[in-house]
Amino acid sequence: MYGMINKAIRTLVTREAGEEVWEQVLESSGIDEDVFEDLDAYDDSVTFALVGATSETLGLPASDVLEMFGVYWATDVAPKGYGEYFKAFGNDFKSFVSGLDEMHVRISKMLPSLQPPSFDIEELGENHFKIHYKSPREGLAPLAIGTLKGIAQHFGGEADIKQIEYKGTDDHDVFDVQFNENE
Amino acid sequence: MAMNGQKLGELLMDADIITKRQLAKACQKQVAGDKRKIGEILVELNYVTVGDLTEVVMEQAKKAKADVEKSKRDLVLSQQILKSKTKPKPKLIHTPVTPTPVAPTPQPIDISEDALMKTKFKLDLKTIIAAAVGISSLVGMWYALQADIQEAKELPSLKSLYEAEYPSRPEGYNWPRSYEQYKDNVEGLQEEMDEVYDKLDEYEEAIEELEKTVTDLRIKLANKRDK
Repeated sequence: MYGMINKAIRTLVTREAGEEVWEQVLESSGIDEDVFEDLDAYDDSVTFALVGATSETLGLPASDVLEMFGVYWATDVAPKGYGEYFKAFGNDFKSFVSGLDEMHVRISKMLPSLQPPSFDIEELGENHFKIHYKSPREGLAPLAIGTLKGIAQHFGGEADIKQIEYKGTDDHDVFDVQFNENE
Repeated sequence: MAMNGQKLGELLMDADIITKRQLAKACQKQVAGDKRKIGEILVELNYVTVGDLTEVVMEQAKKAKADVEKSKRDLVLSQQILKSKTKPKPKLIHTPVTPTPVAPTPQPIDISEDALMKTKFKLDLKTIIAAAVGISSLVGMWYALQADIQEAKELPSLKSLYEAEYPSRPEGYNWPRSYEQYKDNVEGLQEEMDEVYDKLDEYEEAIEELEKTVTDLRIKLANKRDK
């Protein structure tokens, strides 16, 4: 994964728990470097090691850490880093999620090592969707859930998400998503 | 009957189907010597219908299934994290693609006892510590899995779950689901537990291999020190 992901994990841990906790996370992860270059591609094991160490250090399930990171990524990091894309690919939750694959295609031109997931959205009713998530990586469904929750927040709402199909048992992960606009 | 740690009466109260007072009344009957299950008593008292009971039990079964699925998902994530602990973490990609060198013709490897005994191994304490840390992580995960499996074992069987609630099947009701239909909805649970057991076996094998590696490393280190 690109260094910006690892860097964002660092920023999130530092912001939520402090620099001292980050030092503990880094030590526990066994990763030597503290500085991650945004545009350098790192082995996925670096990211998983950071997530695992954060989970151990904070006493949270790893899936919660990933979900929290997903929210942070979609609400703080991505809009700052890819603000223009955020504006260009949709004005509401549904159109934005529909445009995610196209957005990833565009971003891949700048970041050739990107291995983006794919999102396919089906409308079940008013603000009620079924979202199909396919990723070449394993174990990242909680990150997708967090990202979708973050996107919902970005568009002034909350997403109530239930996972209804699981990669492994089923072909890929599928989420039942109810988007509720904040009043 | 406890389902997933919660009793039927509590589930019915949580679903706003019965009140605490109604549950207390049914319990009093049991205390007074009524041997029937709480569900039957509640039906007789007209506090719940068979449909209510089925709905609550089905909902609970769905939750149990979802919990198992989530555990499987978390297990995949744990595996990725575990792999990351044992794997060196190089920076990658962006490295230019170089032509694959032609592999030299392999030479026969001497695996005689003499040759092996003469082989010098370079080891340091860090390697041993890293291996020990890896083992302790695997052992920790093994115990966590054991606890999950024990909890899963204590869940009621599908048949008992279904039959304990509807032992008599009084006439006059249009029973909404047969046991077979009920079973179809949740029978995947056993298969999923089998997968968890398989995964546990894999971890046990990995732990054994690591233990052997550490033992070998210790012996080699001791030999080196002796020299």
